Amino acid sequence: MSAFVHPWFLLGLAGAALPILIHILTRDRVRKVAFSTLRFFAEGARVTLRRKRWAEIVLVALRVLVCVLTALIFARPLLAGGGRAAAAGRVVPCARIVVADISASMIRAGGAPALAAGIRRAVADLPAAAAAGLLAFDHSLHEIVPLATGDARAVAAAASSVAPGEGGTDLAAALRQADAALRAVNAPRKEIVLISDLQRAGMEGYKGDWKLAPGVVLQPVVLAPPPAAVDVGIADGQCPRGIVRDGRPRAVAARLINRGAADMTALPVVLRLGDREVGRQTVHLPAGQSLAVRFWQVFDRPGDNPGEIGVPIEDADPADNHFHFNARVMPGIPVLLAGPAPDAADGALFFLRRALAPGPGSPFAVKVVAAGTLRPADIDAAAVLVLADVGAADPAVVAATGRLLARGGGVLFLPGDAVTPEAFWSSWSAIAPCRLKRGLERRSAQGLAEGAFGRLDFTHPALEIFQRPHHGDFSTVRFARFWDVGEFQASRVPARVADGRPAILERAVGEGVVTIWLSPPDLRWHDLPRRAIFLPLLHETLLQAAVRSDFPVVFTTVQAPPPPPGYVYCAAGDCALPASPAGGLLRSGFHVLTNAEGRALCYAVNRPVAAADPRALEPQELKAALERPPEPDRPAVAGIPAADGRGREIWWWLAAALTVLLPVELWFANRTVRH
Amino acid sequence: MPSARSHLDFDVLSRIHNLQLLARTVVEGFLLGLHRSPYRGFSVEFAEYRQYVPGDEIRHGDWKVYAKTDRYYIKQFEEETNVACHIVLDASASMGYGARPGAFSKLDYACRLAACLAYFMMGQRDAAGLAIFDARIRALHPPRLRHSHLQRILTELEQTRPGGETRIADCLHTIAEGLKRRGLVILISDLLDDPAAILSALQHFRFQGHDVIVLHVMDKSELEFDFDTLTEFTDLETGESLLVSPESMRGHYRARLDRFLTALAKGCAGIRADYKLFNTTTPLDIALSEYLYRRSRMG
Repeated sequence: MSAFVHPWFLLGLAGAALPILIHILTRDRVRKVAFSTLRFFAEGARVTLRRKRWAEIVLVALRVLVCVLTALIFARPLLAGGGRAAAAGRVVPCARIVVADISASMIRAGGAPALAAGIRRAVADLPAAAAAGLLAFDHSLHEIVPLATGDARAVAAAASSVAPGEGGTDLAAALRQADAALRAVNAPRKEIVLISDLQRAGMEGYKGDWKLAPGVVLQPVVLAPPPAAVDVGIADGQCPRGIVRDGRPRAVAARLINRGAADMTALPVVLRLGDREVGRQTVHLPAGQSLAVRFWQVFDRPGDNPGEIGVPIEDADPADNHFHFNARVMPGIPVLLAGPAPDAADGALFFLRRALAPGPGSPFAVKVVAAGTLRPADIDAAAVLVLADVGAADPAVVAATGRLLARGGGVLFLPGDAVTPEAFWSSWSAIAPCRLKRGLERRSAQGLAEGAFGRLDFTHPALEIFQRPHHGDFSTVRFARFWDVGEFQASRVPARVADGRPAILERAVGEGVVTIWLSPPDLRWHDLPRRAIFLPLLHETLLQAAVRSDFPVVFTTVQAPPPPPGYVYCAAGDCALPASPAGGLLRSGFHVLTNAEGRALCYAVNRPVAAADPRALEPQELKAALERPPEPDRPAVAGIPAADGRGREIWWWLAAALTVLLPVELWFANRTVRH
Repeated sequence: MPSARSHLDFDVLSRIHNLQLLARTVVEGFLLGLHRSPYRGFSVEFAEYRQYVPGDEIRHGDWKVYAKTDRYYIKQFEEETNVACHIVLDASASMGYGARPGAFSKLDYACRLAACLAYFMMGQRDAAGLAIFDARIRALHPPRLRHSHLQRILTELEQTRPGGETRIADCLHTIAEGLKRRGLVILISDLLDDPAAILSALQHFRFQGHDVIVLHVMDKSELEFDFDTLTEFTDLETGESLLVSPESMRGHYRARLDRFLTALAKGCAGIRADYKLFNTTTPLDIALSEYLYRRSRMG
């Protein structure tokens, strides 16, 4: 729909008749003359009358167009923006859109009945001729009754179909959508009725870069949770990822929040794995406070270990008293060791084999091959590749290594005596964390190793376990030799030797990680294999490399993760889901996926963290931030939509067209012979 | 007292449809301007009788006729003129162009011109003859001095209408071969033919010893080509039509016309023929001046 700022100038369109009139009055009338002789006439002087007539018609058309464009430019047309259909061109006395919050936090604010009642009240006073719409929102938008075609009766009828779910809150997007719908309607009075608990988290997406159209009134209707004595929820949780069956306890944690009026003393918090209760704590949670609760649990069953941390109490919203998780245990990490002499009784490979397979309970499934017999198929089956003293490699091996990194696996380089810098760089330059320069000796006059570790980065996951006191002493390690390197600016340096040179480097490549120890676990280089920290350091390094091969299994209700390759969502028990939940997982709990072999995979879904955020906006705050008064020089007039960018744009296009047309007409007029 | 020129005003002349009267008006006006009296004489050769009017000389009366008829008649004698003047008039279709309010057609103008010349010649005791042609010779009146001959010439001129195509050269050659006596040839035409052929024919006259005056008659609009709107021109002689934009063609037309006129003027000068360009608004007495000037050089 369009309107004009100065519609009176449209009278100028009548001027488009002028060129036509002038043409009719002054057009060439062919005069006939009986002349004495044609001998003095030029050859080729004959005029093609038809061509001349067409040229005159084109010229008249150009002039008419110039007159039309001039009139339109002065009239200043406007276009309604947003692309949404206007209210069928009808003028309505009032347009009101009800924006209903159906996020998870609304469950505690009265749920569906309160929401439905609020929607009906919002349209009860509307006349029948008014336009009305209903827009529900959580983390996405749902147009229940379009404003372009809706009225109060339709909105009231649809009120009962709206119910809070377990989604997040995107209040900013909902208000912007409502504003856009109102811009497309012809009405002197435009209102947005917002029914929500005004959770502050819902406006996190608003950057202050837009406001409601001038004259649109925002009426917040706050449905706040009634003050309750008991209102506890779990806001957030953490569970370990990429667990290997190593018998170590892992931490599972949840953050509890007490939104009620009463302090919760002796609040039970239970850890369940499957149907079994495996842990229980009793905590004290004061009113208005939050508390983190951690459980330590050994997860040794390979595969899915679905569980939950829950607070088994009855309150306004029992559904938010649970944190669902799936502690997925990898049965073993396939490690491929490649070295020059697999059966040698010394060297890096010897110590590595011993360290990675200390017993039947080792989390690593180790395969050892000679470097010369390393095949791409071996690498494709591994989660971690350890290249001990391997320099140059076959291009197929290098390509297979790239594929390993692309799917999240890890590579550990341990260059030793058999490696030359040139050969190493020629094969591995694309993924190596550094370029080897030369070996450096650190021996005393008596030939004893003198080099030592210097600065260590204990924030690195592989070194994290050593950060606490008495949890690993690197100072006892002595280096006889290590590699001096260059071109490591893109790499992380978890460990350095005493003179500041890197001792360990790490570089992210694809989805995986490449680590290089610049002094291999070879007694000719250093005595780390004899130290207690060798085994945990190696294990943690490989564990960190292998963890990336796993995929996440814990999500929130606002996420819509695609199934892993080969898996599909399935309907199972309480978790009936469509095959591809594009709008988000929607329900908290466990969602089961299966593949062709019948193997199941469990997704643990929780409400988003923001859903538990009790902070609310003040209604006046929201109105002040978004409302704009009507523009003083342009009173609200029915029929003139707000001039958005598209409306202003058209003026420039008209002016540009006129600017182009005028010289074209001039050129064409000069070419056309007229009298 | 009206001025001599008033007799020659176009408005005055256009109201005189009788050629004789017109010619007389023009000639008398011209002579008034020249301050010369007409010469009248009697040749020794009897030409005709005319009835006695008071004032005539009695010695020229024919008493035998009086005895027979009881009426007085005067003998008129043909003088031995110095020049036989041949007026050669182009009456082709192209000469019919130009008639409009305020202007004669070329043929009308040419006929008036010829009438004035004939009248004047007679007054100067020169024999005047007339030949009218278009694609062929339509009328031929050998030069005579009798008054009745002048009447015949004037009558012929009054009845002349535009004819067919122009074949000036052929007709001039034919006329030239028919002339027995040397004299003065006055060609009145628009000369819309091949200049070389025309000049060749005029040279034929010169070869025979005639003096030649070329009175080139053209219409003002032919000379200026002052058309200003899209016009379809139709050739009066060939019937060919051409739709042109005169504004865009005017320069070219004038250039070609100038070349044509220059060729004729130079050509005439080359063969020692007098050439004078007239447009249909040129006063008729200028033609008489040309005649007198040429006539005086002939002695």
